[in-house]
Amino acid sequence: MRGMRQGMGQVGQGMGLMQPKKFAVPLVFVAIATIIPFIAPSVYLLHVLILAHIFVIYAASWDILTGYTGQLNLGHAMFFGLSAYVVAITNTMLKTPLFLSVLMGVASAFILSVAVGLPCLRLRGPYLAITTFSFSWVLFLLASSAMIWLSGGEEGVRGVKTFIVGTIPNYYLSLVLMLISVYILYRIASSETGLILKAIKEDEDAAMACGIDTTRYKLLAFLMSGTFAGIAGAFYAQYMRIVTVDVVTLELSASAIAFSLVGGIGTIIGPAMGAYILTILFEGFAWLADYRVLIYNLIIVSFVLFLPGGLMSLRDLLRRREEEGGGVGGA
Amino acid sequence: MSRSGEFLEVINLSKHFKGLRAVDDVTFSVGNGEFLGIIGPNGAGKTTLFNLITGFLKPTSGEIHFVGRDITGMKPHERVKLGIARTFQVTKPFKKLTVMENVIIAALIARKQGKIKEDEKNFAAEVLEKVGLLHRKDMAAENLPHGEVKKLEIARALATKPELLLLDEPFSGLTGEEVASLQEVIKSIHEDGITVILIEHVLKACMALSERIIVLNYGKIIADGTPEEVCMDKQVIEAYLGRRGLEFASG
Repeated sequence: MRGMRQGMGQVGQGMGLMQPKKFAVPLVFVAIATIIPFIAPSVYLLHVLILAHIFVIYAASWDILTGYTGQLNLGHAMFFGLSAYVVAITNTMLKTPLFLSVLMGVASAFILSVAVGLPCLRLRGPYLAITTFSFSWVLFLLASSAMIWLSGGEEGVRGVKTFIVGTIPNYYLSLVLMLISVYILYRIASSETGLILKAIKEDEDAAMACGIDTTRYKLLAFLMSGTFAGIAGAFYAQYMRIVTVDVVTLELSASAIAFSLVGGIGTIIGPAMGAYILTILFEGFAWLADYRVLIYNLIIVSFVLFLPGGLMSLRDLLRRREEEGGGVGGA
Repeated sequence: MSRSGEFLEVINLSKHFKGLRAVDDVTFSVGNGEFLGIIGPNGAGKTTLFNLITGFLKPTSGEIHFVGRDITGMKPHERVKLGIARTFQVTKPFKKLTVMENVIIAALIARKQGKIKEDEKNFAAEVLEKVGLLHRKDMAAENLPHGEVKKLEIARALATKPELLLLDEPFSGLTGEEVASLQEVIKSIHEDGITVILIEHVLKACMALSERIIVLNYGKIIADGTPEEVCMDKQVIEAYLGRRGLEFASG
């Protein structure tokens, strides 16, 4: 027993040493993000960063369901897109106040996540992937042809109201929304709930044998994932002030996977990083945009082959090397 | 029909897969604190029986009662809550998680259900100490040697704070030394008052631990008695060695 207590003490100490480092990176990021409008007051740059913030929320929300819980979702755009459309349509056609439209948008994503989640609870592996893909495909078909009278198709729904006019205010609003969303998702992922979700991903039978109500937790993961994607979609609608069929495309669904693979699946922070980097990269090389699906697929394949843990695994690798180095030095 | 006296009761339980009767009209009961061994040739229906008792499979017909309650329709996690825990024949560790985290997950649920009052980390450490894995607590489960994965399975089941523990071939693939050490662990678990049902191919260990043994063949119980009685049973010898073996055994 004494050995055990000593062991626990060491763990505690180790974590104590980690704390300052742990907060350093996020603090530096927030500091830089806060002063960017002053040091680089380019409307275009800020616009790209606002989009990046939106996609960070979107990617992190995908990660809680697929990265943490292991439920492969190939149609994540459906939550983002439905919310964006509901905001745009209610706000422009029904003339509901924007704040109410946003609530309805997020609520619609929540309801859709229940509707998709419930049948998916009994499905595993490829069946689940096909089902999520099909749901998003149906939504795409509705928006692009069957219900074009409502969605406006390629033309989209125009004239959505915005909370605040101007790029700089929207930049700060998106920054705050992104930080809060990522923080909440990260806290959930690092909590007891996150550990339970991980167990379900590793082995569903073993999780059940541990007494976990896997059905309940999988549904919870669907709800969180869909709702946060809905928040991202609602913000997108009020910022862009136009919602086109782009928000429910296969391309957008694939981007969630590409963002997450680049950053590191199952880490929340990784997908957030991936979304940031890829969004900026694509906007910087605008001529690449037409090849986006192709590039996403190349990224997915090459990361799966060469760096399945994403950028976050590089950090772990460095840390391990540091520790090993320290160990040798100490001896 | 008062059944409240019995701890676990399996009543006319059957499970058919298409034409195959994996478990065929099986009836037996287990008393509180008993150590029951279940043996039988490959394909005798032992693991299917475990899956039925723990809720991983639904029976074709029959009932299962636990401490006087009909649990036949309950889901696996509900049975865990009542105090039924299991290990898997093909081990199922949470590979990417540490040994400690593997056990903490089960302990966490036990704490939420009010079965343990203490912090789940302390409880998990106690359980790891019990099975002799505490020195591995920070290792990823996927890096454990096979013998210790078997112990981890048991630790995880123990962390659910069970009253009834079902062990599915815990000795398979272990070296002689590992068998001896695990045998001690299982013995001490039983001595703590936990009822144990053990499926085993390593007959020596099973015979040494069990107070009573049930022999399954083609989904049916062909013998039920003390290890000595079962060993002498003609049907059992025939099931294991065939008719010739029986002739040979009886000289």
